Amino acid sequence: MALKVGMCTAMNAEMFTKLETAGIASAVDFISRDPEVLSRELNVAYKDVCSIRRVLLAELCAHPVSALKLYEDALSSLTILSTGCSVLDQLLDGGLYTGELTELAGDTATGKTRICHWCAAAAVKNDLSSALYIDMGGSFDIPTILDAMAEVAGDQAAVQSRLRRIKCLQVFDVFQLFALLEKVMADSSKEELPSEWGNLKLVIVENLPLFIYPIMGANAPYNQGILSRLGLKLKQLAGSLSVAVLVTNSLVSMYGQGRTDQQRKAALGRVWSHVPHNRIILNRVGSDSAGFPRPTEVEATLVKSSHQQTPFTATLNLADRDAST
Amino acid sequence: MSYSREITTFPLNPVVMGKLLQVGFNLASSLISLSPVNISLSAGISVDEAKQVLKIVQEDVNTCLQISGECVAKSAFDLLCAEQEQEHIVTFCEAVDSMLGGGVPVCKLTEICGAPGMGKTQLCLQLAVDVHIPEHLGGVEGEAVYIDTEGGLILDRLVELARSAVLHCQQVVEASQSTLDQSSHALTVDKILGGIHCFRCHDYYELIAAVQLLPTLLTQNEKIKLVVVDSLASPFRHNMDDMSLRRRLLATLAQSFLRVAANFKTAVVLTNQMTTKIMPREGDSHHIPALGDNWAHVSHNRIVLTRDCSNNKRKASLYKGPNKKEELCFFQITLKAVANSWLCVSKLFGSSSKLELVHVIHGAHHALV
Repeated sequence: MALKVGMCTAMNAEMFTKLETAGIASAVDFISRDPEVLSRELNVAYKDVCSIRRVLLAELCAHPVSALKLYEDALSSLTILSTGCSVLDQLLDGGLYTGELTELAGDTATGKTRICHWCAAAAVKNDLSSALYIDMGGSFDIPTILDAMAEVAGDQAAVQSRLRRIKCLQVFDVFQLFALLEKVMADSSKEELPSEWGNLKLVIVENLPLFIYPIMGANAPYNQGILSRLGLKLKQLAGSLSVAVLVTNSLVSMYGQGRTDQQRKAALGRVWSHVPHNRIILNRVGSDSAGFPRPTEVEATLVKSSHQQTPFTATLNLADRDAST
Repeated sequence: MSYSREITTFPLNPVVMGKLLQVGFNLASSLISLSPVNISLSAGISVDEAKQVLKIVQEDVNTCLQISGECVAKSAFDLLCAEQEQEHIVTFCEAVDSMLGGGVPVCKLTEICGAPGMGKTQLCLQLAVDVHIPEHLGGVEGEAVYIDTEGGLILDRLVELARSAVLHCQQVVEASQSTLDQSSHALTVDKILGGIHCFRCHDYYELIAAVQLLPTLLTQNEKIKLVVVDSLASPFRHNMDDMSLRRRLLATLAQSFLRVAANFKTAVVLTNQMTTKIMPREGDSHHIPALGDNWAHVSHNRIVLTRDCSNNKRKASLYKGPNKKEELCFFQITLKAVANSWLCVSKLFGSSSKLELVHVIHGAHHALV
C-alpha cells in the first residue's frame, strides 16, 4: 500500500513531503521503522507518527476470528461434490470438498479430462449449482459430458438445464487466467441476484502446466512467484466462494541420485506440490505393454490428502465409471 | 469500480514491477487512478515505462470486463448447439474419417505421428487439397496454410492429388444429376493450388516466426480453414541441446496453435516423428511419438501410423481422443487415382466386415520417380 495525503488527519501534505524525502513511500516502509527514531529524524510530532501507525495497522491487519465461528461457517457452506465415480468418491472420502483444491496428475490419455467431465456433470446434478470449466485447449467435449449425464438422457429439459449450468471458457495464457479468476471472484461477491456464473460449486482448470511452461526459463524467481501466486488465487477462490477447485497436471520423470527405475511424479515442481489439498496420480494399468487398444483400467493413487490416509490406491474403469473393483 | 487485483499477476517487466512493489503499488486499483508522470516520479521509472504499465493494466481490466459480457463464457448447452455445426475436413479414407468422427475436426488440433514412409506427408497433402471441396459437396470450401519444415511438399504429387480430387468432385456432381448451376463453384486445379499458402521453414526460429504471423494472415484471409505443419518435430530434434528451452518453445507454440484453432475456427494438423523408448525395468523398447510427454497433452486427437507386419497394410491407430474410444483401422496408399479408388472403397466396405480399406493416395516415391 502506498502512502497518500489525507489517509488520516495526521497525514497532511507537510508530513507526506517529509516522509517522501526520507525515502518512505509505502506503508511497509513506515511500519518497519521505529516510531521514536522516525519522529526524531523527520522532526515531526511523536504523537502524529503513532496515530498514522495505528491507522495503517488497523487497515492492513487481518481481524482475528474465533475457531467456533469458522467451524460454523464451514458447516453451513461445506458441500461434498460427488465425482460421479464411486471409486474416486471412496478415494477422496466422499468426493470433492468445497474450499479445497484437488489435483489430478497423469500422463496423456490416462483419463484426466474424462474425470473432469464426470465431476462437472455430477456438480450440476443439483438444481441450483453450476460449474465453470477453464481450459486452454478446448478439450471440453459434448459427447463425453452427455455420456456422463446418461442417467437423465431421456429427459431433454433436464439435460438442457444441466448443460446450461456448465460454463466453459478458453483462456490462452496465465495472465488471462488471473484476470478471469479475479472477475469470477468480483462478480460472485456482489450482493446482487445470481451473477452470470450462477451458484458456483466447482471450478475446473485443465492442464495447468500448459499455462506455466511458456513463462518458465531465464527468470526463475519471477516464474516461481507467478506459480505460487496462481496457487494462492485458486485457494482464495476456493475459500472465499466456497467452491471446489479441480486442476489437472502432467507427470515428469525423476532422475538422479542413483535412480535407475523411471519413477514419475507430478509436474510443476516442489513449490506447487505444497499447494493442492488433495493429489491423485493416475496410471494406466499395463501402460508399458505395447498392446492396442490398451485396457481401460486406470490405477488412481491418492498421494496427498486432508482426509484420508495416504498412499491409497484404487482401480477405476474409464469406460464404465460405476464399475467397482 | 474497485479493482483489487495484485500487480504481480499482470504481464509486466519484472524490473519495473519490483520498483512499483517497493514503493507500495501492489494493487491495480492503486495505479489506475494515477497519471504516468505521477507513477514515474514515485516509483523511479521512466515515463514511457509508466505509460506501458498503465496500458497493460488498463487493457487487462477491459478484457476482464469483456469476459463478463456474455460473449466469452459459453455454457455447455451453447457448445452442444455449436457441436451440431461442427465442420470436418474429409481425408477421403472412410475408415480414418469415421475414426475421427467425420474427418479432421475444425477448431481442434490433430497430430499425425509415424515413422518415415508411413504416409504422414501424404495425409497432409490430401487434407490441404480436400479443404477446398465446395460446401454443396459436403466440404468446408476453405483454403490451407502449409508450413513445411522437412521439404516434403512435392508439387507434382500435390497437382496429382488436386487433379484426382477435381475429377472425383465432377463425378459426384454428374452422378447426383444435380440441376443446380455449380459452374461458379466448380473446383479447378488452379483454384486448389492457388488456395494453398506454403511456408518453407528451415529451423525453429523460422517456424516460430511463421506461427507468430498466422493470426495476421488469417485475419486478412478468412477463407483459410486448415493449418498444416509438416513436421513439427524436425526443427526440434536437432541443434537443441537445452531441453528446458525446447519444452518452453513447444509450450509457447502449443498456446499459439490452440489460439489460432479457437479464434479463427481452423483445423490445425501437425505431424510428429517417432522415437524409441526403452523400458528400464523390462529392458524391451517400443516406438512412441517424439517431442516428449508434455507435448503429448496438447493435441486433441493423436493418430499413429504404423505398418502391420502380418498383412503388410498401413495401420492408423487413434491413440488419443476426448470422446472416441481407442480404435484402429487399416488404409493403403495405392497408385490408383482418387476417384476410382473411392468407388472401390465403398464396395469393399459394403462386402467385407473388416475395416479393411483402400486408401487412395500414392506413395511419395512414386512422385519422385
